[in-house]
Order: sequence, then structure tokens, then C-alpha cells
Amino acid sequence: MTKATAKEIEYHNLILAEDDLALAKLFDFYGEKITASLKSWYSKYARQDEVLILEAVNEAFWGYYKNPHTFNPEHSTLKRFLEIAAERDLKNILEREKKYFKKQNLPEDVELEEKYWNSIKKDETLSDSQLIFEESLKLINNELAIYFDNETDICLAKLILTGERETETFSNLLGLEKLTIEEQRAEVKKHKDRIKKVLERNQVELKLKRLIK
Amino acid sequence: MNDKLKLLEQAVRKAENDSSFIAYFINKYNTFEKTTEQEIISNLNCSLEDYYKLNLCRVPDADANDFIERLNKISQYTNTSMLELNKIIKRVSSILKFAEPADYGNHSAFLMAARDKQKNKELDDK
Repeated sequence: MTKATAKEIEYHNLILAEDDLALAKLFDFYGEKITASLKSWYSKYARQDEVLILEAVNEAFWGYYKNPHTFNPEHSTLKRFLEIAAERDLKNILEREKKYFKKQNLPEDVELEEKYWNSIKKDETLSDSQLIFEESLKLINNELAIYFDNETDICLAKLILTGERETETFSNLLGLEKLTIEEQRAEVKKHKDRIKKVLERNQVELKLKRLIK
Repeated sequence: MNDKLKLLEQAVRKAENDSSFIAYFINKYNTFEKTTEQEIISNLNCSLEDYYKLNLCRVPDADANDFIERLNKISQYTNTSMLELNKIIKRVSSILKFAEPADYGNHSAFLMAARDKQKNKELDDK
């Protein structure tokens, strides 16, 4: 279980203390990072309508700002907490959109694209296919949690499995933005190699394929 | 406009409805004084990003003892003109004081404040 960093605790305390600059600092420091994470996980959707991604990030930030006690620095990093909140809010927004337009088989359905994520087939005849999709994601997360002991590594593994190739996406996830491009590439490669080794050694791809069939 | 600016802009639109944020005050100021966002940015002498960050700061109470100290901290963080920010907050605070708490948009209050402004101007001219 990864705990919040000292810097994250500092931001959290500012919000708890209702500091004048707290919200501005939260958006300034995490805005781009969380948006990048969401865009990489929902790249297909981000290409179609990025406004909803931004709306989800916004809702997540405001939600946390208004109820900071929902975050426990002992249980996760603030970044991961905000990512989860933004992802949840995106799903809610998509659900609201779906209801609003009353369409069937919406292209906006929450689906991570490429490779294995695309093989998650949603059964539209069921009353709530979203539940099945989320259940599949939960299974995947649980399976990855067997091999990786922190949320960042799990996210890295997901990016690798989805075929993500952009260094920037990995850099954002790893918080390497301040390094030079060359340093970022080297650092990202190191992390990717480490994750790939674990994935290959344990045949994780194969196991996930079986899981989501 | 990059993602960060777009996100900040969206957050500011939300903060404009919350009277505890500077965004609310700037929005009111623009309405009262018929100024535009561009003019405010120019008067504050800051970048668009700093302007958005300024909007997301909590507004210090103009009557509080630590008002200047907090104002200074905000203007330093957002690289904005403290004098201009002081003017905006004081102006809107004085207008809002005339309004009922539940009715900040009260028209008569605005007129009272406007009359006060005119009186002050006349005194200055004498």
C-alpha cells in the first residue's frame, strides 16, 4: 500500500486548513497529471470529446476539496486518490449522458481500447452491462495486484498492456515531468522493463485474457 | 489552449458561483463595472494561467485584521497586482454589504453603492 508523499500531505493539510491558495495549488499541481492519466485510460473517448474528461477531473477535484476527509494519506497517494475519483466521475458523467440521450449501444460507452481491454464484451441484454464491465475491471485490478504492490505499478502495467507507447504518458504517471526528455525516456524505459519482466515471468497477459473472456 | 488552462477555466466557471472565491468577486466586479475579463487581466498585469489561479483562491475578508497579509500572499502566488486586487475586493465587498445575504443581486443595493461611488468622486473633485 503506497502512502501519500510528504508533498501530498502538505497539499492535503492546506485544504484541511482552508488555506486561501489550496484549491489553486491543487489544480496547478495535479490538474494536468490527472487529466493525462484519464486521457490515456480513455484515449478513444478523449479523442471524441475531451470536455467530458476535463469535467470529470473538475468534479473529482471539487469533490475532494469540499470533502477532504474522504482521502486517507495512509491508504494511498493523493494522485492515485484523485485518479480514482476522476475515473468514477467520468463513468457517472457518461451514464448521465447515456440516460439523457436515451440511445442504445452508445459509442460513448466506457471502454478502454486496444488489445485486451477491447475484448471485454458487454452484454447489452443484461439489465446493467456497466456492472459487468466494472466487474471485469475489478478482476483485472485484483489479478495485477497479485504481482504489483503499489497503484503506480498497476497503472504502469495497464498502460503497457494497452499498448501505450507515449513517453509523456508514462512520465506523467511517474511524475517525471521536471526531468529532461532524455532523462524521462531513460527513466520510463527502466520502469517499463521492470514491469514487463514481471508480466512475462508470470504470464500475466495470458491470465488476463482468460479472465476477461 | 492547453489542458491545464482548459481545466482551470472550467474550475473558475464553477467558482464564480461560490462567494468564498475570488472568482465570484471578479465576476461581480465585471457586472457592476461593466468591465471584461481581458481588461481585468490587463489591469492585474498577469498571465491567463495566473488569472485563473487567482480566481481559485479564497477571498479574504476585507474587514479582517489579516486582510492585507492574505492579500499579499495571494498576489505573490498569482503574480498579480495587489493594488488592483485590493480595489476589486473592496469594491465588491462594499456593494455586497448593502445587499441582503440571500440576495446579492439586489438592484437597489447596487444603486446605493453606485451613489456612494458618485459621492466619493464629487468629494475627490472638490
